[in-house]
Amino acid sequence: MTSKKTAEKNKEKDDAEDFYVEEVIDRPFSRELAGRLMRYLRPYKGLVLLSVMLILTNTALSLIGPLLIKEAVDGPLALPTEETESRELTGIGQLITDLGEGAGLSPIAVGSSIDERTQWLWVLVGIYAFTLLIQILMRYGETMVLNRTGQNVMRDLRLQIFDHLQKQSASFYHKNPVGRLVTRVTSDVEALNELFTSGFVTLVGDILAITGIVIMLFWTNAELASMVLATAPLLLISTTIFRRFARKHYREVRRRLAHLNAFTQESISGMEVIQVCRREEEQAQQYSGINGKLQDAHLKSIFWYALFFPTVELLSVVALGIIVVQGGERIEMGTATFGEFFLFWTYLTRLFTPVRDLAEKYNLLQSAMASSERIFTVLDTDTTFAEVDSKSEPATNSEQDSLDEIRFENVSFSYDGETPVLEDVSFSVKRGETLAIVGATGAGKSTIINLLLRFHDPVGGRLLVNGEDIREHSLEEHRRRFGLVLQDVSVMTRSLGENIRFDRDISRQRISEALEQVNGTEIVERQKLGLDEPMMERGRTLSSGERQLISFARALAGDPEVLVLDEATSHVDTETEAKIQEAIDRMVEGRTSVIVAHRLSTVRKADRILVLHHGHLRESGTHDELVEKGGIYARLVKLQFQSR
Amino acid sequence: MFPFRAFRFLAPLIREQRPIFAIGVVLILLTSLSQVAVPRLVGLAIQKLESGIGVDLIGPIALAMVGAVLIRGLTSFWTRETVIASSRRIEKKLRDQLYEHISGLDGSFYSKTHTGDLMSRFTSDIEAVRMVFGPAVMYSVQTAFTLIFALSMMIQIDWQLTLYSLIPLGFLTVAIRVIGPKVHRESMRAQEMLSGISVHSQENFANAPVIKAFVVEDAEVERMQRLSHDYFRQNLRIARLRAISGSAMWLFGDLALVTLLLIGGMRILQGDLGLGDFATFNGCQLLLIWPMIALGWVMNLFHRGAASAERLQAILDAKPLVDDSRATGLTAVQKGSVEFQNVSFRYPEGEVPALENVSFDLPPGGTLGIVGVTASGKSSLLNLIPRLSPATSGLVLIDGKPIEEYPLKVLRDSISMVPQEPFLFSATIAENIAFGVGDASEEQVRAVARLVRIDQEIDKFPNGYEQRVGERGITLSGGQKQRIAIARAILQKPRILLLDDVLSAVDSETETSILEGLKDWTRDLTALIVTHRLSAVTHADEILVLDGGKVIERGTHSELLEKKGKYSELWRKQTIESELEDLE
Ligand SMILES: Nc1ncnc2c1ncn2[C@@H]1O[C@H](COP(=O)(O)OP(=O)(O)OP(=O)(O)O)[C@@H](O)[C@H]1O
Ligand SMILES: Nc1ncnc2c1ncn2[C@@H]1O[C@H](COP(=O)(O)OP(=O)(O)OP(=O)(O)O)[C@@H](O)[C@H]1O
Ligand SMILES: [Mg+2]
Ligand SMILES: [Mg+2]
Repeated sequence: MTSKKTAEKNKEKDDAEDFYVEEVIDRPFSRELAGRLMRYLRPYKGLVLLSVMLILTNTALSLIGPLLIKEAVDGPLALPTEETESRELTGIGQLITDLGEGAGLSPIAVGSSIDERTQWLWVLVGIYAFTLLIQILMRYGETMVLNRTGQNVMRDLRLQIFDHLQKQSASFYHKNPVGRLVTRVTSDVEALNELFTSGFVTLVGDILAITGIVIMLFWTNAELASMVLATAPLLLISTTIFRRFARKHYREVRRRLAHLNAFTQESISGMEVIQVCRREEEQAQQYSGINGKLQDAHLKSIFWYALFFPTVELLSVVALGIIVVQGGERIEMGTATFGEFFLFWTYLTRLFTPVRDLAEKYNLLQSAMASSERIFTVLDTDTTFAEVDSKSEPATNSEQDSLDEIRFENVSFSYDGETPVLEDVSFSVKRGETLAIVGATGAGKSTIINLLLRFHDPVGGRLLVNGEDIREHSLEEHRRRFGLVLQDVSVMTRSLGENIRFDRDISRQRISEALEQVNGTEIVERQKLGLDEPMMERGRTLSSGERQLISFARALAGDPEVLVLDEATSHVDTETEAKIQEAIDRMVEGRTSVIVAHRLSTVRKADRILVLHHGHLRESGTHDELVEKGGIYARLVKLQFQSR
Repeated sequence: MFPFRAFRFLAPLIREQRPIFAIGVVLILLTSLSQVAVPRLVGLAIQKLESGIGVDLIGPIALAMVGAVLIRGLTSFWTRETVIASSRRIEKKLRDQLYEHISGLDGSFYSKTHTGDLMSRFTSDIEAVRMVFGPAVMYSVQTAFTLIFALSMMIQIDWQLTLYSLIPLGFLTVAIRVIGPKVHRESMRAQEMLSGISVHSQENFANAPVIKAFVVEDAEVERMQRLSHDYFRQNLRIARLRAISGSAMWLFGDLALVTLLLIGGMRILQGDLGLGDFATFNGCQLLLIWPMIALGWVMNLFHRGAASAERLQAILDAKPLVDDSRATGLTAVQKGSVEFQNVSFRYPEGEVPALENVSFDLPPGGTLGIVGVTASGKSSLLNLIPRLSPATSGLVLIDGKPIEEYPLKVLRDSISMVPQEPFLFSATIAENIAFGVGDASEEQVRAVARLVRIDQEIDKFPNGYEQRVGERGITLSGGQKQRIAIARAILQKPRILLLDDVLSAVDSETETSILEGLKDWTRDLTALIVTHRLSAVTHADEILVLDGGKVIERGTHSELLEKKGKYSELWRKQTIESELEDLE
């Protein structure tokens, strides 16, 4: 039995992981993704072109140095006794000779004096220094241009994701933990940043450098070059093997890390519960377990890195050994020079550095690809409603219309498509009316509010505003009519005043007024900085009632047409609540309100009271009518008002 | 140059890894030695070729090179396996330690810490510290050794030439020292900006319904635009510094080669230097360029790591206001009486006291009702009993002993508290109910679910008790969350039960039936009940009416009604007697 239970437990654990651990994408490089990423470069074509040119010239220039050393060793530095007189001058060599001779130097010959040779040396060093200087400037330019491009793309992408996420429907937010969405906007975008600023250079620059070097090697001494490059297939094989394993471990590490972070985040949010329940030790143990798995994954991946780098090193030295032996032989025979030997040596070092670099940057590339895939997945998920019916021009219409009636017509709803939450609910609210919704917990009251504000669309039936289906209205215009107070806390980390103003065009005067109306001036008085007092996350330093009052003031401050209150005063005492009620009554004659409350004293005066039971509308009428009727509502009244 | 002091608090963790680090250093030493051997061997080969003496030794020399690299491969393999692995072990232990530490911190810490900020310490700061003990240590030791070996070899060949080629390398280090700290400072600011972006998105996504309802998406996007733009500019500022230091490094690295070509070339021409030795020099410089560039990177790692270490230490240094320092050997709460003697309390950042001179004496098994206007200090009072916050003055006694004398574990084991806003984990319903006890059987879970009248609703969920509830219980209704939190508390079978306005989201029918059901269960329990619905506390042994942190009225329900004070006024408002008559 125990084994079965543990098996079940394990399965649960896996499920728990699945909730957080997102599909880990291990594609190292996908043309499709890269193509999509490149599209973000389009607005910055000029910058991109410039950077490619800079990289190109830079790479070319960086290849000149070794050539100059070769020329020096074969030219002025070659010993006077040497018989390499008849060497053919190629490319750069010819150029340098022309340059030197133009400056009035006589060509190097067996009998050249030390002074002549020194002058030649100066020419070479001068050219070297000159190319260096240009390179420095270009390198600076390259870094700046690349960063500017990268940062621009990042900013565009970040805003696009944020904008997109904000438009998503409520159900999207139920399915995706907040932490995961935050990752999309922050670390996933950062990972791409690395790709654009340093990864891009490494990729393009290194590939260019490798090609350039190979060409130069063949050009200088094809025979020797082909021998050295015999190590290339080995390099290719070891890189492929490395990549395979690095990918596998990368995947594992990411999985573990995501789980660990999710666990940490939840522990921090729920720390008080953990402490009151004395589960610190158990939680810490569980944490340590997940942490340990992450460590194991890391340790395993070290092996492959530890193996890869020495392998590359070994191959590079084998190549060098080949040059020493074969090159030596050829120098003896006179078919190669010391200069060529130097050239091969320096180029080889430069050839293997990018290979190593590429491997080092491989992780970077991999996480950038994974990040971009996750980003695109989110961007491709569109759960926004089809907003406006294109035929009509309702946005302007509804601006003028005042809201005369909201009607629920045979509305049915289910969150998961399985369990019905509302079934065949019909009612209407007219302008100036106060509608109250009561019912047992879980009856579907908040769900009605959700539909009213169009966080979800009904599964069956429809909602009519002024006789028209709300799906034909602009979502924004529709929502703007309402002032909503939700059941859950919604105080954010901005100042107290900003929490009420909430990004709208509302004067400080009105803010204070709204606070007065909800009987909340004392809250401001209790703060050191008054309205400017910064609030903590979720309003942690306020009492629950104070938080509700602030949300209430926020809804009132906008002078909405319809006030929607979902248990807006559940944590507030009756006296304060009565005062708020009076203030609202005074405020605007004929304001429409929809109120959800369990406290019957709150709903007593409503024009109509709906009684919801298991998703069905069971009773409807005024307080007196319903008490008369002797149904569910009458029973509730009796229970709540009777003293035990 | 290296800010070591910041890492001192990690000494115990490092000490554990000391033998492994020692092995690592020896391995790095061998690595560097075999690394420097290669240019020497190449130089030797050229010397032989040039002079034409011992040309047949070339083959063996090439073999020796490969041999040296084989050794080097093995040692560097083991270096990574030891040093990097150690750094991962330190990382894990540090993270465990941090987690354990924050589990012991109380409200005084959490009320001023943002979740996102704390999270970043668990992720990026720990990683930054790890980088110091892994790659940074590995590369800096390796650079040091390589430098020593290469230099001693170069000096042996020609000390003047060595000096000349050192000049550009010297500039390099100066450049790193000047620019490094700037990069560090600017990066820290960028880090803060990024964390601002993260906090902004976190709050936005968490409050999505409100933002939608008020149709302020555009304003929020604008805010994000501002944040992103500042971050963009900051990053360009850093890029400029990096561009300068990056190109400086290339410059000085290659400048060393130019110097060698010029000075070395002249010495060759004067006959003071052989081509073979020139080659050795060349090789050594090639070897040094990369570590020197890496040194800049390593310095960066050290600075970042140091800043992160300071951030971690700040957390580890945070002391809870509540601890076991005054605990005696008490092992259990026997009867469960609760007494307050002149208790006052003020939040550390609070302007006014939340409680003033509150006294009461609740016998074991008694029930205390606490009512009062919003922000009158009701929740603050309850929080004092499980010591979530410490009283500023006065005494809280359980069974006649100050609560500080009970070890925290004992105290909290015997107390269950349902907070005003229930917190659910994104686990299954069953796991949430059983959270407070290690091993609850299915029957027990069902039994408490029945007590809080949520069993039928749970049975209707597609997965029943195995239904997952989403982040913070987002897929449940307000009343469902509250009742699960109550079930969790009573499953712990406490001696003292604290209920903070816990049925506010529950209708009166369910409420009555829950209170009915709980009666048996809580008969012997001491209960403190905060509520705004007076009907829930009419049966209490004593009721306190709080206002502004002071007790303004006290007594039983009927006593208070007779007083015709605040309480009776409230009662009248809530019951509307006239209508009650109608019903009867
Ligand atoms: N996002 C969701 N996904 C799935 N089910 C949900 C979701 N939100 C609510 N439900 C379920 O829908 C039913 C009705 O929930 P609703 O929040 O409308 O109840 P309510 O009447 O407001 O209750 P209360 O008074 O407790 O707040 C409940 O059974 C609840 O579990
Ligand atoms: N963490 C905190 N830091 C600073 N001040 C706080 C903190 N928590 C609460 N306060 C303040 O202490 C006072 C009392 O708060 P408390 O939560 O005890 O009120 P309450 O009686 O429970 O109110 P409610 O009925 O709204 O739940 C309030 O003024 C509140 O703003
Ligand atoms: Mg609700
Ligand atoms: Mg409270």
